[in-house]
Amino acid sequence: MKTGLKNTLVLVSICAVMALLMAITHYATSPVIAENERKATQKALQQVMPEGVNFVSVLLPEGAPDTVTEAYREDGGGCVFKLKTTGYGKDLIIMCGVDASGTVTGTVCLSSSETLGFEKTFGEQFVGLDRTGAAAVDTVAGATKTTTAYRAAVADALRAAQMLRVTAGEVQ
Amino acid sequence: MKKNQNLTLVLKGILKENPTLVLVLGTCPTLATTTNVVGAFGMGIAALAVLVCSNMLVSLLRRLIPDAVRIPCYIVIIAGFVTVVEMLVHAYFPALYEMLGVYLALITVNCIILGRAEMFAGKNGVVASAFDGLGMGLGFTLALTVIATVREVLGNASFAGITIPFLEPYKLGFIVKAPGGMMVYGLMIALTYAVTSGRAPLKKSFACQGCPSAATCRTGACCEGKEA
Repeated sequence: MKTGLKNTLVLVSICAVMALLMAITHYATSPVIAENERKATQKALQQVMPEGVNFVSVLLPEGAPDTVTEAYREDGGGCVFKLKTTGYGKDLIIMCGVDASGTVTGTVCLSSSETLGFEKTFGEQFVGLDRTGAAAVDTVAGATKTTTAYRAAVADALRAAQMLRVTAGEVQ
Repeated sequence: MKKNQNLTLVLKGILKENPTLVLVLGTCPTLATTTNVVGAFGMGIAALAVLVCSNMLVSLLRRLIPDAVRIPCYIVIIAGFVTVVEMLVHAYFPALYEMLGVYLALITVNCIILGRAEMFAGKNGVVASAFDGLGMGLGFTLALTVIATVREVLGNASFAGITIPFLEPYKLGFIVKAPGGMMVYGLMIALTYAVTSGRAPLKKSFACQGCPSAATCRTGACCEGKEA
């Protein structure tokens, strides 16, 4: 009984000390981590919409496609969306910018676990296209899962942009 | 005298008892993070930090930790330090954090760390344990960096992300994949054996002693009772 108690006490004490150490580190590093993430998001926003000014996070419109996870609006009426879809692997994360006239200003893949790497350059073809143009972009043979998912995500972004503009009363 | 002993401990971990190439511990991160030099070096340094800290704390508490809860205590200590290192890397080296991904957290189950805690830190002083951790960590980093150099240069025609133009047409893609990794690792072990032959510890005698269940093990052909 006594040894059992001693064992428990030692283990609990060590757990408590390590927990304290982790708590202190967490307290010190979480503001740095949050700031890094904010900077990375800002960088990505500027990358897909170079002429965008003053991006502000907004609520997703009602009935927005499932792939849209975050939405931002900027002063010129443009919107940027963060989309999460599944290509060949899980979690294909794309950032897509749509300007006030419903054309894609840029799209970039933020993170992926695709096997061939096409998602890194596929987005370049969508710049300057509207809904019909974006839907007509050809997928890549041998990487159809990745590129089909990418194309569908861009279509979702264009749809969400339209929804945001309707909500904001800018269009019928 | 003491300085010499500590230096011997450090040098031992770098070549003669290199954890990756001689003791064959920590093979998972070795294969997974050696596809590029920056990731490999970063992983090595992170593991080194955890190794030195956990060795020192285990050694400091070695007389207080009862034998029955030895392993859980060691694991809590190691996991705690890994979490701290993970948070620090996430905050101050975010690119490395993205590169290492889940393998940073997996340092917790890296056999090298628990192995050294059991084999050395649990039985020796704090300073000696710190130097042992340093030696093993440096050996791990060195092995990882060398393997990564071979794999990245031959398999991706680049070094630390910088492309080597004249090697581009000759790159062997499979070397950065699993089979290539196994091949390069195996060849490195053979090379190390050739270089240190006769002076490196016999794997069998080390393996039994290093095993946490050596006391209860009954395989007669083993080296029960043999000292280091």
